[in-house]
Amino acid sequence: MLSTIDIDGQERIFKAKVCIVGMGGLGCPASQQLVAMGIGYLRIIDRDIVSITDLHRQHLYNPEDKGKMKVEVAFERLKTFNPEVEIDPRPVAITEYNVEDEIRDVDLVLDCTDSIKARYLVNRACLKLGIPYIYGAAIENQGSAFTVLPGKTACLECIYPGLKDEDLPKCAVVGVHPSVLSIIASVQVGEAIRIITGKEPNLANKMLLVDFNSLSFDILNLKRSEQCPACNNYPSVELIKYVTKYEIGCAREEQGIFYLYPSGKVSINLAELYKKLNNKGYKGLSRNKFSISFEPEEGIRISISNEGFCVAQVSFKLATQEGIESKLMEIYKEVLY
Amino acid sequence: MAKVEVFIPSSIRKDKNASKVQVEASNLRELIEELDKNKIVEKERLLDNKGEIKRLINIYVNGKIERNLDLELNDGDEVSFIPIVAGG
Repeated sequence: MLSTIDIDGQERIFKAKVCIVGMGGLGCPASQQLVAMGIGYLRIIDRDIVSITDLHRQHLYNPEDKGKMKVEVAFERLKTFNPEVEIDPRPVAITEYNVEDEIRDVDLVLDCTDSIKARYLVNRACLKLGIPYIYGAAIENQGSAFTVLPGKTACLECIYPGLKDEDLPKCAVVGVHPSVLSIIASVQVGEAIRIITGKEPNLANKMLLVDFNSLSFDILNLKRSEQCPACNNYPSVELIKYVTKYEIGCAREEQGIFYLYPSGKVSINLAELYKKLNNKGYKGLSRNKFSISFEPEEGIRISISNEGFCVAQVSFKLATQEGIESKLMEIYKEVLY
Repeated sequence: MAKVEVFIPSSIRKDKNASKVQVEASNLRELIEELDKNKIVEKERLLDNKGEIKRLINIYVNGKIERNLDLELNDGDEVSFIPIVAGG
């Protein structure tokens, strides 16, 4: 038995509830470790589908999983590692409308996303709900991690304020070394276990910087910022009554990817939806545990989750045509209502 | 002139052996010039073509984020230049 965890710590781990936001390069190794260690409950959140270009660094998935929703595959794989762990898969995008609901009632959150917009939302929701937040990030050969204890330490917006996704390099473009991802995910898990077992995290008010190219590890001391908008305001996330929102993901494998999601919490009866889609005679109809996929027309493949989140894979030709967004919105609404 | 301790991670450092250096400068702009002159880090790694700090480099003075390059430095200040890492 590891002396720094001991029996009491092991019992705490068995009872702990952890949420991982983002089941990509960081979320895969972090979830594998936590499940293998016997965490009590693990919530996994991701909006994405498996692509072949993910496989070198996202080791929960294999080529046969291409096109499936990541949490769907991750749920099944993680269960085989340790059937005792309760795994709660959430195939959703994090938005201002759902972030608090999605991370509520857990002991801590591991931020493993690749979107600064989602990271800001999760950080703010954690501050508001008083949930410890463990940041992890990697790009090229660099990695970084820090831990936020709400109201006590510097938060994400104290450290990285005012960023926009369009300003940041993307792993899909500049690449990321899989080893850096494993290192950072392990550090995040280490921080999580320290918090769960009642110890002070090592990276509160500190940032770990890893440069895998020179194999250097540095720790930078940080302080809260008096000007931090998140720490000062604790703004509540408002529900705005849009019917739906959509955003265009990055084109990959000669396809356009479109994400559509409801403004509020939606629960879809997949059995009924399957019947409805079957009656319409859609091709490629397949039902999984938490989602349904179908092809409303040639060149468009849609996956819709039980929480109403939708990913549309559209052929490059169709994706670049004018009016594709409104066409997808029509299909989406038809499915939802 | 203030004596300050500067940390620059290896990913943007020219001199790979100098993660922490002592530099004399009265403000951040001058500090960057000194780092460039002493071949510790090229100023093009830190500044954009308008002479402002690059969007993806953060400066922390005594652990707090700072973007004002005219900020006066004091003896014993700790200054870090950190590339933003946000992928996942």
